[in-house]
Amino acid sequence: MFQIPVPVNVNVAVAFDLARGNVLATPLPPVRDALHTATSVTTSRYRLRWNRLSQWATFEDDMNNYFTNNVTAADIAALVMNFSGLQQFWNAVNESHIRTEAQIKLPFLTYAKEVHNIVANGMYGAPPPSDVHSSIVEVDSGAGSHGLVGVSDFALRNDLEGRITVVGEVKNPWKVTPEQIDQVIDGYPNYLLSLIIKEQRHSPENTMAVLQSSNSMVTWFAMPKRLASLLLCVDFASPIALMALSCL
Amino acid sequence: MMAIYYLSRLAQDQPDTPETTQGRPGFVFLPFADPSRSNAAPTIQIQLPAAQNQQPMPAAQNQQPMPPQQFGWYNQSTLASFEPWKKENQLEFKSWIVELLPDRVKIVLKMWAEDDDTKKHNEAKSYNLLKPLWGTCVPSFIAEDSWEHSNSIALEYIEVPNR
Repeated sequence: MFQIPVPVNVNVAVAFDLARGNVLATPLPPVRDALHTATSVTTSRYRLRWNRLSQWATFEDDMNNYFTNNVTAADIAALVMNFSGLQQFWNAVNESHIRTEAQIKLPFLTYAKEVHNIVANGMYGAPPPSDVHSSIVEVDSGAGSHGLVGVSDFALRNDLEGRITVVGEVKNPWKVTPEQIDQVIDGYPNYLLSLIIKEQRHSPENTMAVLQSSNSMVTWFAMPKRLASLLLCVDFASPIALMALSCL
Repeated sequence: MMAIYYLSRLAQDQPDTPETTQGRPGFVFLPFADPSRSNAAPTIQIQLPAAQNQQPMPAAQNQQPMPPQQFGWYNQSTLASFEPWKKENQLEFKSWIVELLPDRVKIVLKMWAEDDDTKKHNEAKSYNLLKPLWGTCVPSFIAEDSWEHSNSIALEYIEVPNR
């Protein structure tokens, strides 16, 4: 006769063995460019072109400056997760074949979102850092719309104020050429990129924009904010930011 | 991950910056792109107030009536006041009197709760077929929205005196 096995207590406290700094320095898992089964052309009604766009040439320096001068040694050394846990997130994404836009969104949400929210927001019992970060959230068309009119691939959210601070799209980096990036900066008709306003502007708390590429695959962040107004595309296959732009 | 970590920190404290006219008269207008084509998207426009804008109001076209869950939002270029909680604005099921900018003309906003836009399109199509009768037998059709997850049309407001 079959005996029901004893269930595992998954809620038990776990001793972490990976420091925040090690997790952050770990490269993103690679993904494979598979045969594409669909083309993606942006035809959203909410496309808007930016007024000005310029390269954020100091992005790398700014980021290094942040880690050098603002991130404390205690935050870097704090143990935030287990190696086996990180490995599972990694394995869930590693070498996955990407055929559609929906499929490149999944690795971002599976790895980058989860790991980020652990190291930056204290999810799953991790000690939060001493500086407060927006968390990465999924966006859907229903109750999880976060007050956005459209549906972006993901968003960053200020959890203290309950407002979205960034909306982002996940795209295919290997389809963006340096020439196309130059064309965008030079203000060519945006066959490559289009600025999509997916916002609820009835209150100043919800001003945001999304950059969407018609046929590329880069993670775009766009924040039309006072200071940053930044757009960053991160190569998902590499830990290095390919390019950072600021749209003032 | 370091870049994302840096961005999430940067984003956390950044205040929002609504689009403004940058001191110029008028109001911010966000035009819709053509959803049937992938051509270049439009840029944000600043439109003049009614007194300075002598262009006649266009006939039925895609406007931006307010989605039911978003009251008083930014697009003041189209709808002035949408106050469905006021008794005097309430008409029959899911229809309200609102004001259309820039001339503050009273119109009727009719909405459907469903995500399916079939009913909206059917109604708009019917009104367009009845165009010769607009303003006489049926109210003039002004616009249908083009928002995702929002189904509404705007109609001419006709005051019917009590008998």
